[in-house]
Amino acid sequence: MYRCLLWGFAFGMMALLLCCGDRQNTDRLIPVEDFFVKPEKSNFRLSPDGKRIAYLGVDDHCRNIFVLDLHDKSKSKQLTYQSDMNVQYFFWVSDSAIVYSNSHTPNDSLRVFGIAVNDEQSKPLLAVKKAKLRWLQPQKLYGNYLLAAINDRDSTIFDIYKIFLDGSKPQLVTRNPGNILNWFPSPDGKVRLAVTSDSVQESMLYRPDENVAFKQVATTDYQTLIQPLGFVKGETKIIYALSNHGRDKLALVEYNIERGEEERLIYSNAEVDLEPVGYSDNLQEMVFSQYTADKTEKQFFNKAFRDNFEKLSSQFKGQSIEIVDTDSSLQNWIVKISTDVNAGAIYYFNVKKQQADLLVDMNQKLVNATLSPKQAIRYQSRDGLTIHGFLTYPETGKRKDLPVVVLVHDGPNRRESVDFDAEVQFLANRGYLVFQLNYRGSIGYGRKFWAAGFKEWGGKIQSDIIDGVTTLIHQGIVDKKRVAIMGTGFGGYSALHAATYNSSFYRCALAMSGYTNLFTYFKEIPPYQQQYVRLFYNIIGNPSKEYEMFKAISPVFHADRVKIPVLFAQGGSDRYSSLTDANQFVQKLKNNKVPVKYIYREEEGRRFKSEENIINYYQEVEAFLKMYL
Amino acid sequence: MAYNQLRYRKNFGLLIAFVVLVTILFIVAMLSARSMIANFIETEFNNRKVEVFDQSVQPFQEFFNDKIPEISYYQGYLDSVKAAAYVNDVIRKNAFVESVLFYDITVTNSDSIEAGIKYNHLLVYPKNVISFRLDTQNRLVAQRKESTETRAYTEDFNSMVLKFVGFLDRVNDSTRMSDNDIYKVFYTLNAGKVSYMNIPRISDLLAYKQMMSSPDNPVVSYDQDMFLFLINPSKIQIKNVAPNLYEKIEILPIVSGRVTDQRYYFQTELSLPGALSDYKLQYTSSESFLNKEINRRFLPVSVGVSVIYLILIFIAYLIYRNVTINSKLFQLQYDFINNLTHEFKTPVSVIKIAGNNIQSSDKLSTEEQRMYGKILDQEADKLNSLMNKLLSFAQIENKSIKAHKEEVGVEEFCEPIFDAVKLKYPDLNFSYQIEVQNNMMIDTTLLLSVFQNLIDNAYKYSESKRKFLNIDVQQNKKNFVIRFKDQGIGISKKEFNSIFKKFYRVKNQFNQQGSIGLGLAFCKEIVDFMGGEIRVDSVLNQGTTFTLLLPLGPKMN
Repeated sequence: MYRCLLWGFAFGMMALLLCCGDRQNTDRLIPVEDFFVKPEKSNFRLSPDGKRIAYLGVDDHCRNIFVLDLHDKSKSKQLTYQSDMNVQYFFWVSDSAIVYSNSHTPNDSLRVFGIAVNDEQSKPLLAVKKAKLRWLQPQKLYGNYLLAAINDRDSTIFDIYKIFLDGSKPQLVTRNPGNILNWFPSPDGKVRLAVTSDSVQESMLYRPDENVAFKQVATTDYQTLIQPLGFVKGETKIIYALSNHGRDKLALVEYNIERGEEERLIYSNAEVDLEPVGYSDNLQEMVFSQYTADKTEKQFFNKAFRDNFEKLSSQFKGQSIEIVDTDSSLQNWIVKISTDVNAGAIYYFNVKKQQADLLVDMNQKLVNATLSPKQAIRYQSRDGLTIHGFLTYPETGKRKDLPVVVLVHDGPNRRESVDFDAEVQFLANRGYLVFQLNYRGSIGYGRKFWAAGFKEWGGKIQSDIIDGVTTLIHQGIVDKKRVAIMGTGFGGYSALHAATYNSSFYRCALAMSGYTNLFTYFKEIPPYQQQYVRLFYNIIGNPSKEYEMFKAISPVFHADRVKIPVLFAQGGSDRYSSLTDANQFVQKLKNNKVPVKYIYREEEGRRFKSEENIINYYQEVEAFLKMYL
Repeated sequence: MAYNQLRYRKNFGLLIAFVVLVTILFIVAMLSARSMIANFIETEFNNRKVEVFDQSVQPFQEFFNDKIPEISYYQGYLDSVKAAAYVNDVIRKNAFVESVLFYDITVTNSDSIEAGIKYNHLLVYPKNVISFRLDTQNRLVAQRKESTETRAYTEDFNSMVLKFVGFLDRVNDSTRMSDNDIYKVFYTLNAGKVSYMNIPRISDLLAYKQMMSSPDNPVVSYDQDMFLFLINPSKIQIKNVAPNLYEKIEILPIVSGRVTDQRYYFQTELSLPGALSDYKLQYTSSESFLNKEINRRFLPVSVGVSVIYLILIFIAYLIYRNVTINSKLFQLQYDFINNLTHEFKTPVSVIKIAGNNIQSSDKLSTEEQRMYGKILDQEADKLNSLMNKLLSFAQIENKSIKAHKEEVGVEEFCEPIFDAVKLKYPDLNFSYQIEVQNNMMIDTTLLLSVFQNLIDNAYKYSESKRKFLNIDVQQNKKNFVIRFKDQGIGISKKEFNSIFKKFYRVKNQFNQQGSIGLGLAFCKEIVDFMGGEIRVDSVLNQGTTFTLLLPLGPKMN
């Protein structure tokens, strides 16, 4: 009897101690909302003369343009005063004028305005209409007009127009024969280069002059990419481009658009693709080239720029620097400085003074938080492919038998990098090892690796994920009984796929807008965009011909095989999943007594946008993982 | 009053009242239990039909809620081959699906097609119509139907398309399809028919609407799938979950009247839902069938009630027995005190007379003196022996004395007693035999009083001319067997058990006085105490034999 009491007492004390211990632990927990703070200011842009910075800030609950005068701070001001709609984007067209567009919702009518910075006079550049407008890159003023493609005539076809700053009626430059996807203006404001695509085949069109018809100069298949970056200075026939024509990785080349041939290879990386950055419109030359393997690296072609960059990076040792914008003289920069454990900040860098001034922290709340670094890993898949991945350990310092959350990226035409990721940090802060991977089909690792993911959505891509976790289990890092899988979009599909077909391997699955039904997903490509359909036949498969495969890898058909708890978040206006499918899937799970947490937000799309919904979602994620992992 | 309270009372009226009351309660309980159960069964008969209904309709509900929406998963990608696979699954699992019509529908804005339903610029027409059914060998038969053959079902197709087009009219960017919309637009339920069209995504609906409203869109076509399931409700398998309530459950057309209006039948019905709505479930049970069920359920209840009743009656009996025994005991003790008083009275009055005589006589002669002395001495002895008897009996009964066992030869023990008997009762025809090999281990004093008691009894309860006693001492393997055989008045068989009880006296002329009913009880106590046994065997008016069984002692030397 006394012994019982004694034991009871001992247990009580232990429980008390544990509770206290727990409380100490929770002190280090960062509140969910802190991870997903959006910066108050964004879209920093330098004026061409480098004297002003314009940015989007919030006034009266709406995004408005603000101007920061770098020389005379007292002249800084708010430029627009919209109280019922957001400024979607803006850009400088001259040292004193800005073009912007605003809307209530993403699908709102088209409204484009020009505004003079000094007298704040705003005037519409074209009549309000139900159409879409794409500015031709670079967004640059040619004399008194800008170039844009508008689908005014037919919603699927974009024609080029000259948009005049004085608000006079836009002038049609070239009518799209129907298949042209992209136009590339030369520095003189004439469009000589265009790209057509039927998604399986891409063709490059060239004309020496706007009066002459386009002529096809080169044709590539859908796996080959020739991406124009800009014209070589003084040339109208030679461009800088990223190309993987005849090679596996995207390399920087000079390309002759008259003959449709590669002139010379400028730079390439053996391991990964180059990224389409580094061309300066003002200098009309490649300033640098950039690639990301485990970390982002730059190769400089302009010596002065390199020296300045090195001076800047000496001020931010070990941090990655992204050049957001420069003025035309490259003497004033806007840069984003960040690391994997720091959401980063936007700085204004004055090259002459060698001085960097903070403009805004990307996440004010996390500036002083202790976060977990990302560690690059690589492993072999079962068929010998090298897969790159990242591990983020929880702050506890434990390196053995950890519960893991496999975070599968969307896409698959995307990739993970070492950059700061709030979702990852949130999960690591909650004590989980986070495993991200660039499964086959991810981009950035060359053509072959990308193509290896074709028609493998429910196949080898999923086994790559399992191979990664298995490797970690063999290394003793991961507790094999505590593996969760989570993701958005394709990642969500992977989670549902895992729940359906690998219920024994995973402990629970969390899907945000996961595709339950690939038939539905495929249907999102409307028939009149046949070019995309054919590309998707190659990437996913043909639902008419490969109907069996589609049925086999669509979780909604096999919901009765799900044995593990599932968290399922769905936005009402997600176009890739139909609500009926999602409801059916969840209902079947519920009928089978599988624990399901269904989060449905009617107003949201594929990814939750409103802060309240995001925070709520991650709170549910936290509770779900705590309960089931 | 106080006297009354202290008196021994015996009132069987109370007991009888108790028994009567319990019996009435028992009957009432049985009757009400029976009627409650009957009521309960009737209610259940009306209530549990829902359970049967649920169970029976479940396959249809599963088909309707799970299998039909699956069509939407295919998003219109079904063609005749894939539809056959789907239908095969459905039609084999659900016997009530008799046949299935599959419409491979094209939705287009093309002008070049003649047939179909055109609404503004939107044309909806069935590219293919295929019917599926199982033939007699259970093979799936697919038949491509020409438009003339499907005329019977044109209505279904048209109504679906019209509903759909009507819905398209209402669709806009912000449309969210509610469950209600889905049910109203994409399902059509008629008696015996379910038609369903796959639910397109909102963006498809918008595209259709676009095609419908504006003339100059590029020509495109979309696929939609529509299925028409022909349902035969009578093929639904009835699952009678309460077979002891419902004798017969049938699926009958909703219009069919009562087959019988006999009062002996209980009947209830439930109409089937949705596409089965022209049929109903009818439940019938005959009264005897229900009675059987009532009795089945009544049995355990009645057994329970009866057991309780029997227990109560048994308790009443126990009380009765207790009261009777106590009353007897009371009577015995009363008699005992009476007898005892008589026993004491005789010597005391003799002593008193002797005392008076001595007192009143002036001079006593030596002879008188001796006579009175002898009388006084004798009577005092009598009193003494009487008291000794009482005392030792009480002691023996309370086990407060110990046996002083000693080894003694049988003859050595018996001879003096028998000699004394001859002296004491000269008119007794006394004989004895002793044939033993072993010695006795006994308390001689105690056994002596047993012998004396039995001998005294034999003498006392014999007619004066038939005073006869034979004592036979023998031994068998285990015991000495000592028989006291007389030819006295005998004891009736009824009294064999009672004679060894305390204070019990056989009522006859021989024991009017001088007996207190302890003699045999005393003997029995002693014999039991020595580990022996005493038995009686007697024939009325012929004689009595008492048999003593005593354990053997060691062998004689």
